[in-house]
Amino acid sequence: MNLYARRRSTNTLVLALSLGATAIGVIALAAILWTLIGEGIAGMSLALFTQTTPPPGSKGGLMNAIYGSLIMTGLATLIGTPVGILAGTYLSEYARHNKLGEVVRFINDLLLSAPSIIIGLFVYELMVVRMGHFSAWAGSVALAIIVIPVVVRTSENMLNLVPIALREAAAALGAPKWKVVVMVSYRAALQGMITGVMLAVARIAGETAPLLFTALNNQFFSTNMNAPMANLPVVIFQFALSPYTDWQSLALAGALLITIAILILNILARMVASWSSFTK
Amino acid sequence: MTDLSSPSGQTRPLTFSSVTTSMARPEKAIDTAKVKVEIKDLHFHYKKFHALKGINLPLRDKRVTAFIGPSGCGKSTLLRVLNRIYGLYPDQVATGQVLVDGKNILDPGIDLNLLRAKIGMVFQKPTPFPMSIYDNVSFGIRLYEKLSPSDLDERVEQALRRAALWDEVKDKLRQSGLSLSGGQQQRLCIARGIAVKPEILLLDEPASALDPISTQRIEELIAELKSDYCIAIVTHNMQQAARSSDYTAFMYLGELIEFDETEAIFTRPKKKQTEDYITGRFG
Repeated sequence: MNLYARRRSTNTLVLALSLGATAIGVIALAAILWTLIGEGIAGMSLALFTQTTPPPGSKGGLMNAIYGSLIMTGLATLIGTPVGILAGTYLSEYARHNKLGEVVRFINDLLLSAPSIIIGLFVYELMVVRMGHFSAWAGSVALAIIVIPVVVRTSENMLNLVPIALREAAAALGAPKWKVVVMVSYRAALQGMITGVMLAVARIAGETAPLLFTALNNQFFSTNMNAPMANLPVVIFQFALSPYTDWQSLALAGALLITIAILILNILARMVASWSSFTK
Repeated sequence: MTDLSSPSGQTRPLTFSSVTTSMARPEKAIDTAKVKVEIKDLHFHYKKFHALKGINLPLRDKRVTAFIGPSGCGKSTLLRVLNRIYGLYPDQVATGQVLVDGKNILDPGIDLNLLRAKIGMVFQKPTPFPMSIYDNVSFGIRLYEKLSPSDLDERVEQALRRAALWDEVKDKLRQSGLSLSGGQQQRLCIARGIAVKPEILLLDEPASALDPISTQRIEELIAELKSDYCIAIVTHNMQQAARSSDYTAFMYLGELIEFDETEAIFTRPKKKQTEDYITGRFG
């Protein structure tokens, strides 16, 4: 009985500690969201989507920044996804146990945890310095470099979850390796891989540092990929630090916008992950 | 593990017929079914581990040969040599000869994909691909044949009928193969395997993950399919081997201890080890 009582009290204690730790995290997140919604909602208006970033003291919106973010995030995803999926495929299907695979996996993990400002500086040296100016291309490349390791990792993990027996069964029918990968492994891992890409997009949607050194910012609406391009994170960074209240409120509105976008992406990713494509 | 047989003298697979005659069963005729697969002095290594030690064994066409033995005795390994599926793993090596219709499939020049298309394999756990029932069956056909949609439909139906699954799935061919029950999934895998018209079927404990009724259906199916294929089946289940096979090979620690007609193995085994194993006194 004494033993049980002790176990029960240990259980209660550990449970209380876990709940406490969870509460700290959730409260912090809730506080951020609360402030963001409270302050950001005021700046939400149609003008946000139809007008460009204003000079201090006049009305404006974030149209150019929203456009820039969409373009650069989209392009980065377009570059990073195929590279990431192919590398993940290599790691899982071709190099699961060999030395090169281990090296690539290790380097990818380093890249995954590399501070994004370093990636910004890297692309600054690689592209901005050589081209002589900031550009949306450089911004997209910097974001793509952040996308790649995330997609490599998730693709590899998802492909690793595909049972070996499934690959053997396909090979036993006489399917060449590449067909096994494309027609069986990819199909089995599809949902997880899509989820990985979406999470990667959510990750870069709010990245500021890599864009600060590459795409920089642009007061005006620009579709020129060879010129600096406005984007939400850098605009938020600049406007939030400024002393002008109208800029500050635009920054908060922009922050809310990104948060909502990331929230939607995460929810979509979860839906895809739980969605069974074979119930029909 | 003392008295290990040395089956090296078993060049022609008819040696066991002498046993049957000596056992005074003259009504038992010599099996005239041709030898489809001839395994000669086969050795197998997983890295340093010597998993098969000089196996000599014939597999006859239109007969079922069962491989029995305790876990780790090499029976699954032996099966996996027959379609060289072990070749997916670089640290697994087989040496010796496996003659399929007289051609050594261990030769490095062999086209593995073509070889595997000729040899169907069904695994312990059902492995339906994550696609529709129809696509599961047509997957293998499409690899090597270009058929019109109606011909393909016909082949899929044929295979599913052959696997005794057609009536259960004919109205839901577009549904996922994963939506079927375990026993149905296994029959789907058999259908998938025979859809490519193989000559040999390898069954690796095909019923071990199934309930008794599904097991019975699989066994009936094996008996049915025997008329067309050379079948090799690995099983842990002695009754299953006794019920559904014509020949039985008893293996232990990577060696072939005894090979004979199933009836002989189960009624009058020549080796003590075989007797101990089939009577459940193995130790």
